[in-house]
Amino acid sequence: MELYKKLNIDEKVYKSITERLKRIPNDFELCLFSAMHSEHCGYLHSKKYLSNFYTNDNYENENAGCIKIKNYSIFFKMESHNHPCAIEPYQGSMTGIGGIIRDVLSLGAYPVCLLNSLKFGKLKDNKTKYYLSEVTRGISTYGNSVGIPVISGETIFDENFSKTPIVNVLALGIVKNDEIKFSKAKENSYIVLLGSKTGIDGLNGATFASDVLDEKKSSRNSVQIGDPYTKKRLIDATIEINKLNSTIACQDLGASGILSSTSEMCYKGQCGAELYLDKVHCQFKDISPSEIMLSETQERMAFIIDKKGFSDFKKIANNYDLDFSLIGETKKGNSYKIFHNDNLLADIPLNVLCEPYLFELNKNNIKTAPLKKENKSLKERFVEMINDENFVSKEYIYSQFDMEVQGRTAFSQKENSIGIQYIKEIPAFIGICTKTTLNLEAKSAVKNSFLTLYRKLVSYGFEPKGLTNCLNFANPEREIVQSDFLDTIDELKHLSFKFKVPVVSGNVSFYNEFKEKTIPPCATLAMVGTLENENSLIRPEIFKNNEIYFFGKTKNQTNEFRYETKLKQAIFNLHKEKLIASAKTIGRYGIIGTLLKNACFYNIGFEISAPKEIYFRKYLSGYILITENKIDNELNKYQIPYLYLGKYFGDKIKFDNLEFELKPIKEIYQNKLSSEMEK
Amino acid sequence: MQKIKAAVVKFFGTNCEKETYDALLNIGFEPYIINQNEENLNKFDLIVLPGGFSYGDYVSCGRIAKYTPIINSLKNNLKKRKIFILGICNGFQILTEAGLIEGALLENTSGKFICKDVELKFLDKTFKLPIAHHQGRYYIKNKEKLNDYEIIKYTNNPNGSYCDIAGLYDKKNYILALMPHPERNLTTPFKPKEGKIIFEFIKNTIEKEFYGTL
Repeated sequence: MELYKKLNIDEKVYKSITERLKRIPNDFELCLFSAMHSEHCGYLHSKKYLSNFYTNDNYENENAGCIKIKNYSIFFKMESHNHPCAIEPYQGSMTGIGGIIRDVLSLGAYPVCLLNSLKFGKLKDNKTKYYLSEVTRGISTYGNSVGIPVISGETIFDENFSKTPIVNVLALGIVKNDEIKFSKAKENSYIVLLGSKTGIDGLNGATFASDVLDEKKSSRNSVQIGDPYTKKRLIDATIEINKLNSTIACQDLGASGILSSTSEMCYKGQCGAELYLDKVHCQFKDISPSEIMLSETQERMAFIIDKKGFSDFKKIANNYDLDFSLIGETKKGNSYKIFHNDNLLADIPLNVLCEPYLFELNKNNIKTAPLKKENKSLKERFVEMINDENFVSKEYIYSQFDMEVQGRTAFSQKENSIGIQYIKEIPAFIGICTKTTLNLEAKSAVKNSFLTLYRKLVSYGFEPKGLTNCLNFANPEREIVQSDFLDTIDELKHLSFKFKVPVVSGNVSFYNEFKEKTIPPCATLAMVGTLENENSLIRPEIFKNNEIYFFGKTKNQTNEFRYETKLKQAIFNLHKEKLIASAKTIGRYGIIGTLLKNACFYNIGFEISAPKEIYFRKYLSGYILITENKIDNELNKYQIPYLYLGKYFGDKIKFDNLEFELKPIKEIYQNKLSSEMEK
Repeated sequence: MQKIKAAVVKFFGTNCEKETYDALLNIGFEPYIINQNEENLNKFDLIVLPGGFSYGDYVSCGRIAKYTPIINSLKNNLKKRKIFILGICNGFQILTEAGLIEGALLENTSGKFICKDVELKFLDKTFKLPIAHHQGRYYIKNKEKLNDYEIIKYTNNPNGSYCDIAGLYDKKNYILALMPHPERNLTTPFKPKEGKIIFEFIKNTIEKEFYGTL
């Protein structure tokens, strides 16, 4: 068997390489191509479709995108770490956090918060318990130790993810506009590697993540190992180094380690490079040149440093007790040359290395269909809901995360599924939340998530400002995956243009399947909003005798931009006039679900009445308003439909002639997850 | 009176130094951030060992930090003069490792990291502060030694600590150590400001007992 086949390089990809190279690559070069032209690094099946989003900056080719507020930029990005977590959930989730932190860090941004979106199988499955406890422990160990709070997140239990858990993590960082560091190299400068010694962990991680999971092929060696203590020093040192004038560019070492970071920086800066692999600081002596190039050892950063300023770099590295090595120089031209003990191992034009063959996807009529609704009585639905592992409190998970380190967190996921931080440097508040909608066809799912996030931010007084996403799909060679994926992208583009919420960054993860068991289209969205005036923030609390209204249309997600912005303005006005105490959005459990969650959290019962069919209707296009007094007269002014629902009081839940004691429901709500996990 | 100078010690791996600095500033101290190699502590009346994961908490929480020059210097200062030491979370762990506070901090009974608000009692006051630790279960072999301390108690023990101990104050040597994070409930908008209780207690103690000005 020919080497390129063994290395899992597609026939078309290989042909494109040899044609453009005008020769057959040598074995070492082939190894480099196998990594750079893998789905994970090269986005072979998605790149064609990822341009032309609505954006507000020119950072399309950077590690993360940003929104601006005053003289600060807020960079954020979400990334998947699904494959490593399926094999080794503890290290997999640790290094997922580690990787996404480096993405914002490499732009010079100081990471201030994390968010995660986790999907597992059903809780009755022991494997789910293993994944849940190990992924949580991994995020907890790493995030807590590097001192970045996990302020928001979602966890979904669904049969479809029993073999392929989905672990998406987001990092957000802040930097002054004039201190942003880009990843464009300049010729005739040093290429420097900082951080951990290169070893063989995470070897071929990129190619491993570019294939369907397979028990035989899956290797724990392909999973990287995290070291949060070194990372903490690396973060502090990188922030200082990126402030030096002599630092030209910076890039983190993630997938395909030294190879992708150095080649991409040079390609973006339109210069060539010479790397001397014998200069790289390694964990042991007999590590091979291809292992050095492809290792995904964590806690490493690459820098392009002006030759005159190298001593300043050294001083900072030494202050933080970090290893570094001068591993090469940038040159004029387009050649990427790799030397090892004076032997030239590779000489590849950077455009061939960094521009892989891209596949076309096709739309067709095979699409994921929405899940059918079941007819159930209100009582049945209520009882089912309170026992649903997706409904109950996720305290078991989030209490293992430090939500408050750095002292910026005003509200965390404790209160609701939104995290709010006060960034005193700016000064401003940021709000951040994430949402994945399943069981709908791809377009509606994206629309639903988008509008839910938009409203969630509005319900706290935030102006929605930017969006990121992690698109998790099965094998892109499947027709149904191609259709669903293209629909997802189309809808994202449509909504971001319409609502003027830029898509600042994104990530695609294909091949989420195991033995023909594929995941459904799974677009994780996360939205960030900003707010400058403390008084504009709408607090979440609910008090006894508060009145409850529904404000908006009692149908499912509408897609009327004008209606949504009118609603938003109305909410902001009502708050400004001090007429509402808080506003809530409606999720997959309808009005009853939202009210009950808050009843459990604030320990107050409620009694409401509404048309039968809307109690559990999902994702209504409006808000629940919590008010001190009745405000019908004021609401009438807005020409937006509303319903008076009832009141928060007492210790019972009452609606439609049904009556339940709050206390036992609250017990289930608070303890179900932890008691299931301890079984 | 001049502001009291306070040093916040940033070991490698410490991650709560900035908000601790902000808290001290807010209460009216003159804070500085110094590193583990600093030996000259003469100008400081208060040394704070903040929260975090010094040296990654490798080997054991606070185990490596106790061998740093600053801890050595702290011990020398304690012998010679009045100096107030505050250890928060990892700082508490370092102080027990260094033998400056009796007892030890073990893994929580849940075996897991716990981040939540807890209610505390200290000197007739009841207030809430957040905890965020994996090893916060206080243990002491020689129980009589507890008589030397004022105790900060959990009203609802979250981690299995002996006698609901959340923190200890050695009033003879002016060493206060606690697992909860007072610096987190002080300067952030919308947060309660009850962290004040701890920092103001320290400020008043220094003013009264070091300078006799209160």
